[in-house]
Amino acid sequence: MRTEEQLVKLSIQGDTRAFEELVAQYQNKVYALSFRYMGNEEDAYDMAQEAFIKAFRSLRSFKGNSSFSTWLYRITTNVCLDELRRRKRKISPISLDEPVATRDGDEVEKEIADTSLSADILYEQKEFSQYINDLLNEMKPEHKTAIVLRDVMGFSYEEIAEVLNCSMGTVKSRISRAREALRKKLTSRELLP
Amino acid sequence: MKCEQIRVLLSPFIDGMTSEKENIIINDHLNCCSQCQKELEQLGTLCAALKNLPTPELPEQFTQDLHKRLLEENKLLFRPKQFKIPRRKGWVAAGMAGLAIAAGIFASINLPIASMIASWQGKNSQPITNKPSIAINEIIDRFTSGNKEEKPAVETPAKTNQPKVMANNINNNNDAVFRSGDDNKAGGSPDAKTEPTAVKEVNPKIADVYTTRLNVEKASESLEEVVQLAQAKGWNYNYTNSASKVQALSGPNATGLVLKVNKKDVDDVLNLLGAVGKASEPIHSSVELTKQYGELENQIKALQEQKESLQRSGEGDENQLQQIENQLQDYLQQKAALDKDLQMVTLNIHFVEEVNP
Repeated sequence: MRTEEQLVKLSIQGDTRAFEELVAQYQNKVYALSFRYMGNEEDAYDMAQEAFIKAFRSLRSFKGNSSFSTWLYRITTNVCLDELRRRKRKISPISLDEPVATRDGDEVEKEIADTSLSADILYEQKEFSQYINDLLNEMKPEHKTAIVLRDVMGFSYEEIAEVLNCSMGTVKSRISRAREALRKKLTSRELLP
Repeated sequence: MKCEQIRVLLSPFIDGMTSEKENIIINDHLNCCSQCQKELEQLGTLCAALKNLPTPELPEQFTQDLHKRLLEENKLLFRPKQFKIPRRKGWVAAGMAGLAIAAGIFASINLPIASMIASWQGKNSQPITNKPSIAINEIIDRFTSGNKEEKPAVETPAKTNQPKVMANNINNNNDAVFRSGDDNKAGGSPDAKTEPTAVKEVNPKIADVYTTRLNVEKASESLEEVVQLAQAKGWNYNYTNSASKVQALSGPNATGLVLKVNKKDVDDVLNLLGAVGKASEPIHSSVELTKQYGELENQIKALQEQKESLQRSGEGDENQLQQIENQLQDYLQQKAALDKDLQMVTLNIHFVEEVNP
């Protein structure tokens, strides 16, 4: 059994098998992390692949100051946030009240799904998670990353500070603000007791 | 403490990231404030919900897909020598060979045989005369001046008088061979001492320089990477100071590094750089150091002569002698540095950040 350090060294020399051993150890967490950032499976799949490729490419710059896993999660976070930022720039606003043309040439009014479901329906339909997911996707990137890393992935404050390359104080305040924002949204919809 | 101050602490409190002192204050407050207590409970529920958010299973083909991509990536990262300099040299060599053949054909058609012989003989002496450095020439000079009365050596006069032969060749003089024969008589004369300087000018001193652009994602990180590589491999490196020049060449996010490596290592270095970023085809240029080198040699010689004459005559105080000696050592060091430069190839690397559209 080779150590992580040995596997990293071999990977730097172009040993893809050694790198795949590393991938096997972390692929589930990397996928889970990118799923949480991206909000859907397809994008999560692409971004997780992208993160591993990017890690393989830049292994030389891994200095061993942090653990390999932290370094990998940082790459995953950056890959996902970059993609989200790129998309945000591209998306043009959609008009909600403009009629839509059908195939027959008729025009119909747009029907916008009502997301303001009551608490019991949400619980019943198991859409509570989806709702939180949606709320997460609406959050500022720095709040989203903090809460995903802490509450979803269960990382310690120290690890988060390393992944996000910021101070513990910053981590503390970001987590605090993100939770507070979520709590307020959920209580306003009476989704929290 | 006010509720607002307590609420800020509730989040780290849940995670056990508050100090003991803060814990006491928070607990005291919670015992008497139902609103803050409620908020704490809500935060707890929220954290539990976030923790239990379902995550889909990793699709099975993930490993296979990644395997394929890694193999492709590996080919790109560790591709066989992408830009081998010898290939470029090959073209240059082929061009030179072509020119040489053309010149040969031209010469055989147009030049009379006598001048061919003259130029051949001139050439024949050239490689011998070009080789000796000053040190050897000085030995030869001393040898000839010491033995001039007894028997002027057959070879040495031809060597020391080489520049004159060269001059004859340039003038395309038909009786160059005989002239050089005439010069032989003067060959043993002491004024041959002045000639080594003339020989130096014939010997060009040229340093090779390659310039390449590396397209990378983060210039500063890649720069660090190359510096680490340089440290690991023992290459000489220097940061480019002329930032404005580099910026003008390669955009705002550029930094530069100058590597000095052995000629034989250039291929390896370029390959390793290929792994750091996308490298452009290196541009070759050379720095003519002949003049600088010649001047340095002249200065050293002048100082040595000055020192010797001072020592011989016994004039001049210790200080003056010491000053000359210091200056001499300085020049000798400069010359040694130049000699080293001539053995090395300079690689100018400009790091250019890829700009996302």
